Amino acid sequence: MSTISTEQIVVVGGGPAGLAAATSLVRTGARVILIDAGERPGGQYWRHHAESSLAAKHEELRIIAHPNVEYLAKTNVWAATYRDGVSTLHLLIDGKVEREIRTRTLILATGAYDRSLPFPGWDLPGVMTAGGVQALLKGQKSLVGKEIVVAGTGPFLLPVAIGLIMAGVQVKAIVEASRPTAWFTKLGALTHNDGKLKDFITFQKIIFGAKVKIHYGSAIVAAQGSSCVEQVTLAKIDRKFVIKPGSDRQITCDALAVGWGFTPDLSLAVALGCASRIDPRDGSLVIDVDEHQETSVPGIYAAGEITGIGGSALALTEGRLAAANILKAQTEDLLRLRGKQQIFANALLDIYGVKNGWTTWQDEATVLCRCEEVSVGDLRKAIVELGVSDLRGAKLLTRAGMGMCQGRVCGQFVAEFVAKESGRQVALKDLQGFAKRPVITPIPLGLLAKGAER
Amino acid sequence: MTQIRVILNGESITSREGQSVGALLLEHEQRATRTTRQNARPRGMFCGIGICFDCLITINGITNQRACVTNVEEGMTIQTQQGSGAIA
Ligand code: FES
Repeated sequence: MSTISTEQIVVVGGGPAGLAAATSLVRTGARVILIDAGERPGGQYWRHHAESSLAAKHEELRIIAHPNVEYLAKTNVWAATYRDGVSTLHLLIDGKVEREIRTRTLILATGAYDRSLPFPGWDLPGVMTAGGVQALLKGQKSLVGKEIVVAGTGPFLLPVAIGLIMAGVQVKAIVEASRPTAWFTKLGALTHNDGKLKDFITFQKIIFGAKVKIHYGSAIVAAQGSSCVEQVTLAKIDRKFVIKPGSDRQITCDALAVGWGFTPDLSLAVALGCASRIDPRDGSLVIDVDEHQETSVPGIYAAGEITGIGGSALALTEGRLAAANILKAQTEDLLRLRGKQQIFANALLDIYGVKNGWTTWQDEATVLCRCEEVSVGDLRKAIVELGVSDLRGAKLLTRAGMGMCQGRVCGQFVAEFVAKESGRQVALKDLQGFAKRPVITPIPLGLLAKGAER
Repeated sequence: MTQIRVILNGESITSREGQSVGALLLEHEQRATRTTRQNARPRGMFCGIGICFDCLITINGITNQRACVTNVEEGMTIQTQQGSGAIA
């Protein structure tokens, strides 16, 4: 089925940014098609299970019932093109139904997923991203283990640990790479968001009450087990993330939730030709937007994490701002709010920054690319013996980043690894090479063949 | 909540409508969905949200489906995978 609906505004992404944009738009009578990969709205941040009452709390989650909204759940955009001001999106609904839609006004709010770092044993079953553990808990009331270590860096680790504690799991330890002293230089930024500070204090109380220890300036640098994780290695790390010798010890557990911040999901925006840049705050590739959240492609707007990691409050504001600009409405208050929220987001990214000392945690056998089973040794061999110094060469010779996830998991850190071993900085084209994906989301082969005939 | 019967590795078990295959496996203490193609290493869910393609599993005879984003359906057959999809 093909719909040509250039008069409708299309929003891709059902998280806070996309929902906020859709909400602002329909309030003024606009018609919106909202495309969401999830089975119900909310994205990662507002993920909830079928009987949850979360929708009662947030108007944005209820917007899908509005008569002017066509909500497409479980829908992936697997291919997209832009020509003469019109974006064409090829959709696959619930893995079965195909549809094509066209629009002159598109808002991209495709969000982010956990950023990962490789370490020995990170491929063992039972080792999951913090976001994955949270998604299982919030979306499925499902637990990955009974004795869990929560590790990595960022303000997201505490709510994950608390969710697990509330669900009756024994959280064996919380391991945070940053140090609390890092906050002292950022107190000014905190005043821009005292709600978050209150949350933080509540979290600390619950964790203290549950007698869970938070290890600061530390990291889980290895996991061991035969058929799944049985124990992990905790070590102190310095400010550059290098392990302090002799500081390591083992913690027994049956699961590890590990997250190192977030990676924006740019596949769709890049496929449409939107310009990207390296975000100097965390080194991730982000979509370049102007003051109005508009990308380099006229009529295509971007909001939320794909324009730079900033959290849900900023994402909501950016979604509203994109909508306001499309509607040519007042934006002053939103701009002011966005400015404040950005100061807070910048402070967080600085405090919870990932430093490249992580490249010393692996041994030769450590898997870097999980899909294609490319090890540190394989990549190093390509660099040292075959003289590879760029990402293209590394991909071609080792197949790193060429598996089913198309470099979503390993792209950034493989780029950092190759750059470091070659004695240079990560270049924009390294990351762009990974973000340009032939198929935006994998689809059944039959469909791909049909697409190629077009 | 509607009960659903599915077959996991040849055994008939109960699941619930809306449950993901990945969550069902965890409930049955099955963490690995497959072994890898080259080194036959066990793998299970990693990202939990459909990004990483680690949780591959054979569903209704079709190999390499993602356990984390596939919900159970009445009568579904689910089989853990060896390598690219021979049945474990
Ligand atoms: S766990 Fe990553 S795709 Fe299923």
